[in-house]
Amino acid sequence: MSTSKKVLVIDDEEGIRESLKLILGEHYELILTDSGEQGLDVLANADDIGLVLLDIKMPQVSGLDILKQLKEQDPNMNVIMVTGYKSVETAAEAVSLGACGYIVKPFKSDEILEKVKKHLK
Amino acid sequence: MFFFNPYAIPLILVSMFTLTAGIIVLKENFRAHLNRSMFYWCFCISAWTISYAIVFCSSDKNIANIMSRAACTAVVFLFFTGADCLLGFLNPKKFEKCIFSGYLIGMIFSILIFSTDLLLSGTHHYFFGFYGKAGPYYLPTILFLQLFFIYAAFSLFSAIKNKQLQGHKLIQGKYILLGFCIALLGCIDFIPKFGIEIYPFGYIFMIFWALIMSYTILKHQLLNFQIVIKKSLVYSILFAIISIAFITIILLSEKIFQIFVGYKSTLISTFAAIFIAILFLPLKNLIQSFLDKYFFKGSPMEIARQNELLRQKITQTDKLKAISTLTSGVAHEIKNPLTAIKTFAEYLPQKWDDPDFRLKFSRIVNREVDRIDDLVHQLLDFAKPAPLALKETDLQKFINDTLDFLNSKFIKHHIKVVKNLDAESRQLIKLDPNQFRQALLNILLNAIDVMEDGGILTVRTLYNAQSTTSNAKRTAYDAQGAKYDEHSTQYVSITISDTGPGISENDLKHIFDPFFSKKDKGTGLGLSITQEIIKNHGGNIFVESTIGQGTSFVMKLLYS
Repeated sequence: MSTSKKVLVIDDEEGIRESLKLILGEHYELILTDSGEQGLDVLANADDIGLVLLDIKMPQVSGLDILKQLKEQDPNMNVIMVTGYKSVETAAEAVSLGACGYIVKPFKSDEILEKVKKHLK
Repeated sequence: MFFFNPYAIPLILVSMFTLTAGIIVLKENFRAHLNRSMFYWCFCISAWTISYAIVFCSSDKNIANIMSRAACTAVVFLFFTGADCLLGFLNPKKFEKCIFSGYLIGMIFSILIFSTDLLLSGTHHYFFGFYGKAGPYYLPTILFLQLFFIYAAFSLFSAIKNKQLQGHKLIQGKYILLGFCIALLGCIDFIPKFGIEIYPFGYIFMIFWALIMSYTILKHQLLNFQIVIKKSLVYSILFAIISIAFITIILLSEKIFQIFVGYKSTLISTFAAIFIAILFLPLKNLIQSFLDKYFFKGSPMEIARQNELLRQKITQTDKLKAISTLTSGVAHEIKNPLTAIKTFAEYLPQKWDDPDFRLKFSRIVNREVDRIDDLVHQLLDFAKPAPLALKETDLQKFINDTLDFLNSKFIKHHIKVVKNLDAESRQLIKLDPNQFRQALLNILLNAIDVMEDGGILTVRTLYNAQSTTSNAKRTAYDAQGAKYDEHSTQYVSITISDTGPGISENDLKHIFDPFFSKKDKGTGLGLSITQEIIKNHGGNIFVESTIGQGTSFVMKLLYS
């Protein structure tokens, strides 16, 4: 492991969680969660998380709402949004709410590795 | 103590008119922020004008003093309710603090108006009666109020300019901004407060504003911008002419009467009122034809055509919006499985020897390919549903069969099924059984999903019945473009109600939108497809829901 900080993945899709695990699993320690609620729970009880990868479109509570709650819980946490479509408005809203970047699906492994390396505290 | 003062008549009329406009707008939708703030504003105008009507009719200086302070308080709140209307229209949550501080400042000003002479210091006595006298801090106060108001108008202007408002909201925004610019002309009424003897006719512009706002809120969808201005202009000018004519006739006649007879008489104003009443209709037509000729050059046919063009434009905007929702939904639904397939394919060469990876590869890639396949089929069904194969069907039997099909699920989730099927429903009705079953199943499966821990599912049929949903709900959330005659008695309604948690009003508006889903699983196409099937049967579907009580879907089908 290149760093002791963990990466928290919040995505309701198993396929996406497993894909991120494939790409990042060998380099970083990951915590995979399938809902925003679970992700917030993990974040509240762990102090070694250095980055969150958060899906923008999820059922029940949207990724942007989770981002708001997450930032209230830990204002300094780096969050990268994962989105299915390039929407300037959503990206702008995510950045204004405190996300440090966003990745568009289907993503490239190099892109993910580079962004995680850059933003992991 | 009080006397009949004809100068007060236009004030009373404006007061009654604005209060009526406010009540109509509030009645239309008392839950909407815009309607509520519009009512508050109308109420303030009404309070302001009626207070001044009392001031004008008062011969007692003390009463005039108190009532002019009441009018001044209404004017202060007029600025804050106006800003509430504008900012609330843009984003009630974003400007919540600003609106709240506005009302708080309004309260402080009201206390100052009644308990000190800082803002108002007594009354002037003019030819039209008593009028409030500006105190030492009156000018800075109205400048501050103007600034608050202009800030709100500027926020709306920026939102329009920066294209933050779209579709109906953009049209509404333009009307509201125009209304506010006109309303600012009401500031003319501040002038007599500084000792300049002119009749305060600024309140007349409030009619113009109230007309624009009422149209905007109630009927903006089918009104052309020019037509709104035209109608408002006609009535405002007419009102101004009548008021000025009324006052001039009274002034002249009173002078003449006093010179020749030696005393004043209320008979004069009565005659003036009769005279004006006779003149009203021809005058209105004259002004209208004048405005038509020189400003609008539009016959009623032309106006109808413009309205139709506007309606088409709005429909087109709605269609584009639906396509945009569909595209973003498809993007999300397809890109998720694509991402998984792409990543697993990319890692295949280097992870080939890992049996765990191979197992996951086989499971996940297969499942994701199936998902894309399902989605493509559903999209094809949605875009081009198979032609209907209509068959004479016994509706009661059909519903019983469909419910039996789901019996194991009802038992598993402890759902009690209550059937209230009209005896008439044994009558044969023309349906495509396969497609209609799919439509019913989509609703029933949704009901099961929301009652996972038990509940009551009620299925009711009614022949020749009026809809069980309220009209307001029906027009707001029904399937668009109903083909059947609303007044026809030849229809059957099928109502499916659950006792689930209910759907919020905001979600209810999007419930038939493709890809709109609040469920963990599912594409969000189910209800869109149901709506399409019902529409293809020449029917319509409505939904109503109460948070904490449940949701009802009502399908109406023709059977004649």
